[in-house]
Parts: sequence; structure tokens; C-alpha cells
Amino acid sequence: MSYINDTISNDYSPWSTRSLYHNNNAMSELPEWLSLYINKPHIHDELVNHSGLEPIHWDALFNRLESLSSEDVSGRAIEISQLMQNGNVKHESSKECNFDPLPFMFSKSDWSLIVEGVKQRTQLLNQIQADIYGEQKLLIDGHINARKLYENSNYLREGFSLPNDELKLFFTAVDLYRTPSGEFKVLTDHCQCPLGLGLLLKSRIIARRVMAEEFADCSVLQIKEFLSSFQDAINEYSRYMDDPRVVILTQGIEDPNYNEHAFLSTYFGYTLVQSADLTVREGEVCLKSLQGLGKINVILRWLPDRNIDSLEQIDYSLHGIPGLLQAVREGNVKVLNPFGSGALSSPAIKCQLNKLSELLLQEPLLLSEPNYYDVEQAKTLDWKSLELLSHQDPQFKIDAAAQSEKVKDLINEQPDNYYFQDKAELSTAPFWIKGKLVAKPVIFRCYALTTEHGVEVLPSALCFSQQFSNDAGMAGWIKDTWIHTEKDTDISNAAFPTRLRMDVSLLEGVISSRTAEHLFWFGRYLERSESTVRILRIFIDKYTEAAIYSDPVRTSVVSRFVEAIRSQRIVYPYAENSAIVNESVDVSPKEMALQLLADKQCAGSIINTLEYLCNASKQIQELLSHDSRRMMDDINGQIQQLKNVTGFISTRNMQSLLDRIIGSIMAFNGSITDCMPNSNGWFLLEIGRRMERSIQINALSAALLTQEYEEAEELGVLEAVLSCQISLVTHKRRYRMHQSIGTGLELLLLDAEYPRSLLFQLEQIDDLCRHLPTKRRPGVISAHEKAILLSKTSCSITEKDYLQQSDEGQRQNLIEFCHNIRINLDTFCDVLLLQYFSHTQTAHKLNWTNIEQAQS
Amino acid sequence: MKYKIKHSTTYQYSDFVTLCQNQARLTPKTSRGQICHNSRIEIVPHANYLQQFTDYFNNNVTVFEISTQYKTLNVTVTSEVELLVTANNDIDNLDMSWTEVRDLLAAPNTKELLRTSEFILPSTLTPIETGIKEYALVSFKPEETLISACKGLMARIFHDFKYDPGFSTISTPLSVVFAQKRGVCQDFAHFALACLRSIGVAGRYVSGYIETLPPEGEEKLEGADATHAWFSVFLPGCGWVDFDPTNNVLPSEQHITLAVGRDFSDVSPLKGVVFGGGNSLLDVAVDMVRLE
Repeated sequence: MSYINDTISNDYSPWSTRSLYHNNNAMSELPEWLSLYINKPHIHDELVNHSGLEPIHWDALFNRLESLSSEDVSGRAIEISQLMQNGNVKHESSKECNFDPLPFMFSKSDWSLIVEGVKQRTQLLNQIQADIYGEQKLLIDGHINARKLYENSNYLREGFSLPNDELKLFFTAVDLYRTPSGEFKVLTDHCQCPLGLGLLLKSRIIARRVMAEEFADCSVLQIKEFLSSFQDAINEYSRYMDDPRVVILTQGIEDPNYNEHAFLSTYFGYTLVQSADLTVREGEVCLKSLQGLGKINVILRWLPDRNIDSLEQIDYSLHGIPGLLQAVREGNVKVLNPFGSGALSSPAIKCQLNKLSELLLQEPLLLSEPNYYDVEQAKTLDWKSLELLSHQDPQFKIDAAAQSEKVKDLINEQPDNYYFQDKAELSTAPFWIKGKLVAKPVIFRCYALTTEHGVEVLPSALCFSQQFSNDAGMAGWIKDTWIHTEKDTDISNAAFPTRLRMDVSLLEGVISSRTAEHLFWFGRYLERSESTVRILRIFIDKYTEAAIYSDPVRTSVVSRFVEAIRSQRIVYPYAENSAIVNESVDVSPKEMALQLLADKQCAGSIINTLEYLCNASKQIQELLSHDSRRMMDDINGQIQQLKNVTGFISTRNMQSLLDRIIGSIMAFNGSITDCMPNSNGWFLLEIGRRMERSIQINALSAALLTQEYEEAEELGVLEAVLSCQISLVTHKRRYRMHQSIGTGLELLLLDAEYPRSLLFQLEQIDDLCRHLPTKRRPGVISAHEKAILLSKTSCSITEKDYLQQSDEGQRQNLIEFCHNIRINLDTFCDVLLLQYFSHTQTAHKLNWTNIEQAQS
Repeated sequence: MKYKIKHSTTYQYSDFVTLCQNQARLTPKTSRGQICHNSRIEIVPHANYLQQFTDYFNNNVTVFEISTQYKTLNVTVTSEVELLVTANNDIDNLDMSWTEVRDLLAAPNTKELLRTSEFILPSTLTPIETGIKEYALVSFKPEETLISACKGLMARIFHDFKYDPGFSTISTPLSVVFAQKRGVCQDFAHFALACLRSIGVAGRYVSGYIETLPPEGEEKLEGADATHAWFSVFLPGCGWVDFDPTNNVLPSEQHITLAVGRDFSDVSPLKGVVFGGGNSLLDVAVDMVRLE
């Protein structure tokens, strides 16, 4: 394929590097969707104007893509967007993040320029960081305006009392754009918590899947090495430790970037923690885990440093960890990124970077800053290409020409607070939107890692079409970015440096007590959803049947169910008696069913339980496999359907909705069965599930089987109860000759071998509790074990006939039995909460000593 | 002059505290004007972790943690501090005008000036409210020397503001103090600092102790001395010069410096985080005895 380069020969023109990606000889070879884009007028486009004299990097891509029709591309786009959505926590505030099916191609030459530039810049920033938190020569000599730096809230005085090593940059990012003349310039540095690495990884994984052939053909530079270096660098900090613990610190699920934190945690295998999971004891940072307090060696923080220590720092935050800085000062924990690096992005330093590079590195910046002007300088300039920024407020930015009156007012009022900069004229790149290519302005975020071996640059970038903001999370359009290499150089079997890496697999996973508690509740909600759906299915079945054949037995079964659901005795919160119900209001079975399905006012309704389930799943997101997360997505979708349910829904539709829900739950159960390492606390999910089932069986028996009726009616109720516990068939087979309430109770409560019996659940719980770290002296049984033992014993020694006995229509023995079991189960849960999950205690700020009055 | 100071802080809780982590700035500094010969901190119940470090403002900070359950916490610091006779008596001779000092600090070119220039910026507790600059400029006339202008400001605060212990708390905003012209030493110091900073003069907050003398013929009561606060102004070539607007004096022989900072939040004598505890009651007692 050959191209004619539309290069303007005039060397003085800033546009001299422009070329036109343009297939002249064989226009027909380019697919229509592509030639349409190329032939459109562009201001300055990456593909059309900046692809260089020999755009082999784009060729490599389009050679592959030329056979695709626009329908093919759209198909890919849809596939990608589905893959992107999987397992993500949805934030109502944040916009969707769209991932483009066309990767961005960097030529080898452009990329090597960027790599050099990013390396140089990172070195420069490191030197500045060392100076402003050390000798301060740059401030004394006036290269950096001291006042402006002091005023910046990211310049942290605490940095001065920390060891020098603690302030070195680790993982940074820089946002670049291309000017019309073809050079790359810098928009922003991200030295604190560089966002987007998780997104980049995720998009790379998807791109490799959807565009496997193109990927191979373009010989794209791999990012694996960089990620290994990243982990090696972290391991380096814990080199001398037997059992190093590395955690990723996130604000929690309310953080718009939580998905990314969870993704990185899964990817690197580091425990994801929130501030409340950590505590500082005697100068060491500890994780509150099920096993007790465990020392932490490295914290990858994704929290701002201004208020990360609520004891030492003046800026107070709920997410602060009191005493953290003291632990850092003592050298007991390494926090990455280091403190105080946010100041590097302050205008006081940013505006001087070009000069500082000349001063410190004796060379100009390869990736220069846009031109900055103070208010005085700007007065003589044309404001058309300028925008006004604030020294104080990093979010502030207004167009100087468009709002010139406002600008004049502002700079007259406080000339020192503002400065001007050249507006960035971003280049555009093609994005696939609604079936065609659209030019959108792009920014490239490049990542750098600083280790003792120097600076390493991630050989890819996050190419995005909209400024990210920390508040709104990742939104807008992104592309995977491919660095094209020539085949032969790539395949050279350069010997990989052997790395000494610990066999991390030998180390047990640690989870915080918070996560442990979420696992327990997750198990309970899982079981609760399942059983509530089953009850509702049986109930709907019964009342539709009764409507057709309305004999007294069927009618009575339905009314007992209505009663039991309405009084919340067989659904959450499993009330022990029905005194609270207002008898005067008559509820039809269908209304009852609807309430239980989709009424938010009804505590135990399916919609509420599923929402609890989804919330709990977000909290343990990083422990779930990709497939399990997809099942949770399905359940999320069903919640949305439930929200739209109205009173006009047909019974048939209700039934099929319930079938789908139970299908998702069963699929989810299947997806986790074989991947639950108990060391990660998964047994707690199982305890939760068994516990909920125990409560459920007990509640069903107590609510529906304690009253004596005519035999036919009794058997009708029993049949329904057994159906709810999927035990009807077993019961029929086992008690072929004679069936009674007694046989039903034997199967449901007393049979230690039957997997759905109460006793069986209790045995399982007892067994699972062995995984809990013991907190007692040998020879003494702890309170939760006692509660289970009591229940187990009473199940084991009770006879079915004893339970069946009735007195004046009431089975007093059964009532008592169920009541005692319930008390013991509640005790078990309380003790578990108190002994193992009691991380919830919150800290109070001690009143500061007031300065007392002096005598005048 | 040598003093022995005993500063005792007691917290009583309605409920058990299970864990507390604290930072105390209760060890007097050694500086140009004073030497801290020794200082001992006693904590009851026993702290299972105790470390010291020097903060950004060169204050001594004690970090401690108590993980035994308690309802009463007592922190007592006993220190012996010698006040040196400084050159303060001669400062009237230094005739540097405040505008010269201001201009020097606007472009700091030595480490000392750089560190000092920190203190020309408003801080959280010393916001520059409307009217404050005008108030300051009455004393800071163009040709005035820094020292005489500061003395003038100190005297005006002393006369214009009423000392009223019940009026303010730590969270009373400066604007209220200014509007009502009432407060305690801490408020006066903050107000003076806001005045200085509004016109580009460097001022820092000083927390410390002041010796009190009983009325003639009466015995001195134990615990009657007090923690105190005043402000300090930077004079190039001389260093930091203290002014006590609460008493309208230049501190010399009765003021002992504990810690310095931009405002109270930098020097808080005892701050911490507690788990549990419920309501708490605070009691502070200070004794300052002349040793020679």
C-alpha cells in the first residue's frame, strides 16, 4: 500500500510536520467507514495529520481492519462495552466510560520521544521534590515562589519530619497532548494517586481478546514487564521480611474509582483495605483481620495525603488513620506514593518547570509545558488563545477571551491569585460512535515508575477524550494505546533478567474483619433471597390453584400462607409471633405476593434482599471471580426489572421473573463452589448461608406447623412447607406408608443425615467454626460454640412424636422447641459479631486542651 | 531566672477508654531566650508506646499510646527552664522600619528568611477578615519602626479588647472576637497575628506559661498558674521578639515558651484520638515555681 504525503515544504510553517494519511492509489482498498473519516476536514488529527511520513504503524492496523464492514466494527464495539461493564460497581453520579474498538497507534519514533520526555520529567520532579522538602535551595534562590508554594494546601510540612527516603516518587503519571505543530506538551502531572492504571489494564485485556489478530500483527509492545517491575519494586520494600503484607488502601465503595482499586487488588493479589481496617499500634500499622492484628509493611494508598493521619494532621478526615505518620517516621511501614508529592502539580512549580529543567538538568524539557503568563505579562497579549487559572483552586479554569469581563474583574481584585496559560489545542483521533468514526480531542496519560534502577515508562498509555476528574471517576471515551514495533526487533530473545521473587503463594491470604463480616452477610442474603423466592413461588402456585379449584383445604393453606407472610414470620425478619398485624385490613393473595416481590416498604421483600445482596457483593468484589461478578450483574439487572413492576403484572410474568432470579442465584452459587479458599474467609459465607437456612427452617416450622387442624388440611400445609424446603419428594419417598406432621418435622428438623434438615445445618456450622481463630483457653468452649452445641443437642435428643403432640389445638412442645432454637441461633450471631467483627468501633477526637486564661 | 514547671492535664471519662493515641507538645523548647534543662513526662495509666520527635516548627512532640482500659488519664510534665537575659532591652535601638522588614520577607533569600516567610500567610485560625488590615495600619504607619509599631498594636489590643474568660472557646471565629472585642489570651494572639499578616509582617503564635504572683500578703495557691499564649514578631538581625497583648508587656522574665507555630492548631499541647470513653471532663493545673 502506498500513500502520498501531503507535506508542506515550507519549513517555517508550524505545520511542516503534517502529513496526510491518505490512500491515493487504491482508495477502494480502504473500507468506506475509514475513508469517510480520512476525507473529512480536520483541524489537526492524529491519523490524518500526525501519522508522519511513513505511517506504518497505522498501516499495520488497517491492513487487518480493511476487511471489516462497519457492522463488524459496531459488533465489536458492543462486545467491548459489555465486557467493560462486567462486575463494575455502578455509580449514579459518574458517567459511563466508553471503550473504543479502534486502538490508538503510536509510531516507534513518537513513542521513543515520549519515553525520553517522561523519564526526564520524572527525574526532574524527583529532584524538585527532594529540594522542596529538604534544602529548599530552589526557594531560597527564588526559582520557585516560596509564598505560592507555602500557600498550596498540598505542600505538607509533615514531610520535613519524615526520613528523606520516604519522599521519593514512586508511581506517577503525566497527561500529554499534541499541538498542531506536532510536538507533545504536558497538561497535568499526577504525582499523588495516578488514576487509570486499572482501566488501562482492563482495556488491554479486552482489546487482546476482541482484537487478538490485529494485536499480533501490529507487534504491540507488551505491558507485562512493566507490571512485573511494579510488583518487584513493591517487593523491594519488604525484601527482608518473612511474610510481607502489602495492602491497597481505598476510600471504600463510595469512591468513584473503587472499581479500579478492586481491580488492581485482584490483579496484583494485594489485600484491599479501607482506613477503618487499619490501626496503628505502637508505631506499627496493623490490619484488623479475623486472626487478630496483623502487621502491614507496604500501603499503596489511593487516598489523598493531606488528611491521611487524623491524629497528626490538621486537616481532619474520616478516612484518616491516626498515627500513620509516626509509623512512617519510625520506618515501620512504607507508604506509596509518598507524602507531599501533590505539591509538584501546584502552579508554583508547574509554571517554572521549563526554567527548572535548564537549571537542574542543564537541558530543555523534552515535553514542555504550555506557555504561562502572569497577569502583568498577559495584559499585552491577545487573550484569544489564553485561559485564566488560579493559584489557589486547581479546578478553576475560564476562557480569557470568552469571559473577558469576568477575567478583568478577577485579576484587578487579586492579581497575585491568577495566571494565564496558552489554551491547549488538542489533536483529534477517530472514535467509533453510533456506527461511524467521529473525531474527538484526545489526551494521553503516560505512567512512570521510579525505582533505584531509574525510571521505567509503561509502554502504553491511556488515550482518552475527556478530562478525568477525581470526583466523577473515570468517564468519557478511552482507547487502548498500542506502541508499534517492527517484528524482528521484538522477537529477539533478549534474556530476561532473572528476578528473585518470593513465592508469595506460600503466604496465606489475609482479609480484614470488615471483609469477613461482609462475607458472612453475603452468605445470609444469598440464602435469604433464594428461600424467599422459593416461598413466593410456592405461594403463587398455591393461590392460583385455589382460584381454580376452591376447596376448603386449598383455601385454608393459602390463607395460612398469607397470614405467615404478612406477619413476617416466614420471611425476614422472621417475627416470632403475629401480634403486630392489623387484622382489619384484608389483603388478597396477589397483593401479598406483589408486596413480597417488589415492595420496598416490606423489609423482607425480594427486591430489598437482592439489593442487600448486591451491596454486600460490592464490598467483597475483589474476592469474586470474573464470572461470579457477571452473575451479580445479572441480579442487578433483575433488581432494575423489579423496580418497574406494577400492580398490573400478570401472575405468569411474576413466575417467570422469579424463575430468572433463582436461575441467577443458582448460577452464582455454582460459580463460587469450587473457588473458595477458606484461608480467605470464604467459610464465613458458608456459615452465613447455613445460619440463614437454619433460621428459615425453624421459622417455617414455628409459623405453619404448630397448630393442629384436620388431617387433610394439615397435610396440605405440610406439603407446602416441604416444597419451600425442596423436600417434598424426599418426604414422600421416605414415608411412603404414613405421612404426618411428625414425619415432616423429623425430616426438616431432626435428621442429621438429610442435607436440608436443621440438624444438618447445625452440624455444618459447628464444623465450619473450626476455621475461626480460637480466642479461648484450651479446654473451654466459647460462647458461640455453646449456642450451637445446645441447638444440636436438643435436635438430637428430641423425638418426632414429642414434637407432634398437641394440646387444645396447639403443639406446645414444638413451639417451645423452636423458640429455644431461635434464641440459640441469635446468640450465635451476636457472639460472632462481637468476637470477630467488632471493628466497627469508631474513634473520637480528644478535645484539645484549651489554653486557660492567664491572669491579667 | 530559673523555674520549675509542673503542668498536669487530667481527663475523666464516663466510660472506659479502650485505646488512645496522642501527641503532646508539653516539653519546653530550648531557644535563643531559654534553656530547658530537663523535662519529664509522666503518664497514668502507663503508656505502652512513647516516642519523641521534632516537628516542622522545631517543637518537641511526644507521641504516646495507651492500650490498657482506663477512665482517668493524667499527663504530668515537670520541667526546669532557665530564662536567659536577652537583648530585648536593646530592641528599641533597632530602627528598622516595618516596611523594610516586609519587603525583605516578600523575597526571602536566606534559609532563615525563607522559614520566616511562612508566617506572613494567613492560617486556619487567623483568617484576615475585613477591617483587620485597617485596624493594623493605625499602628503601622509608613515610617514606623517594626518594634514601636508592634508595641503600639499590642497596647491597642490591650485597651480595646476586654479580657473575658467565659466569652470564647477554641472554635469561636476570629471575626466574632473582633466584632465583640472580647476574648482570652489565645484570641488576642490570633487577632494580633491576623493584623500582622494582613500587612505582610511575619508573626508566630507562642504557647507557654506565665508566672503569676499572689496578691500582696497572700500565699500562692497551687495550680494557680496558667498556660498562656502570646505572639512573636520577626526582626531581621535580632530574631523573634515576643509581645504579650493580654498583659501589654514584652515578655522577659516571667514567660516560658512551650511551642511555636502558625496558630494554636500547630501547638496544641495535647491532642489525641480515643476509642470509647463517652463524655469527658478536662482539668488542667499549672504550677510555676522560681528556683533561683
